[in-house]
Amino acid sequence: MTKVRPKVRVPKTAKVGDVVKIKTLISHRMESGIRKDKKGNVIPRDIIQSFEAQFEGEPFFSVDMHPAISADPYFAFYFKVPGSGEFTFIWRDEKGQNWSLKRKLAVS
Amino acid sequence: MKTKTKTKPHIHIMDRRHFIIGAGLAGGQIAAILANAPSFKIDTAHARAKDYKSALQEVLKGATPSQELLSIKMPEIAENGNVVSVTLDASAAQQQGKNINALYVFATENPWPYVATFKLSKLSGQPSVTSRMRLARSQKVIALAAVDDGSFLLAETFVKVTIGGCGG
Repeated sequence: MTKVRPKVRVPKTAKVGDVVKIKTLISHRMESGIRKDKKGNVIPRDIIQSFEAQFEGEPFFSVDMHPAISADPYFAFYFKVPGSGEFTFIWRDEKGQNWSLKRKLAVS
Repeated sequence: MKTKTKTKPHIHIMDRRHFIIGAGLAGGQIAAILANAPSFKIDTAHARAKDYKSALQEVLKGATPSQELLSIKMPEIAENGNVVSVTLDASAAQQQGKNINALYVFATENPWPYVATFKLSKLSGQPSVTSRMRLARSQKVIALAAVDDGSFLLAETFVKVTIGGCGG
């Protein structure tokens, strides 16, 4: 299995009130649990079920995912800048494992 | 005559991987998967309704959505059902003073129609989101937007799928 690796793209600087675009991606196979291998055995389900974006600890965007989200879940969404601060991005799978990333935003 | 050196096609690593998955499925497995899907038992609490109408009702709870101010953008034809881009946009509703709490996507013909819920907030800036989803076959895809006054907006589109996506 390939390593699960999250990535985000956020601007480093912005002005207060700007609406900025955030792009996130996490490498994950999102195994639906209904595919079968060559021998006909069901490949066990393994999906990331939630994603949350926080700014200064306050969640502002989240996703509930189901198996119909493609492998390597990608999201692009928007954020209205209230001031300088730090983003936290968290992904969680169904087994309780999680991955996170932090990014700083400075208001110019 | 001098042969032109072939330029290496620039393929993003993800696309290549999806291509491999897609190619594997095309080799006869897809029919088996689709045939098996309806009888497959869902074993987690996270799974939802199996037909899209009841999945929609879980969100709407009897409310009638209005078909305006929300858009769903997907390709008309998707060559690979494993990775189909989808963009939901309720900016038109925001411009009319409606705050959007959440956006939903339903794939009407997938084994599990409920695809995802995107929850927004006041810091979201613009009620718009882009993601990538799987489509098992050609089908109608429905988007819902939940407005903070309790009403709903609905938009739909039809996507023709050449190679079906694995799973729901």
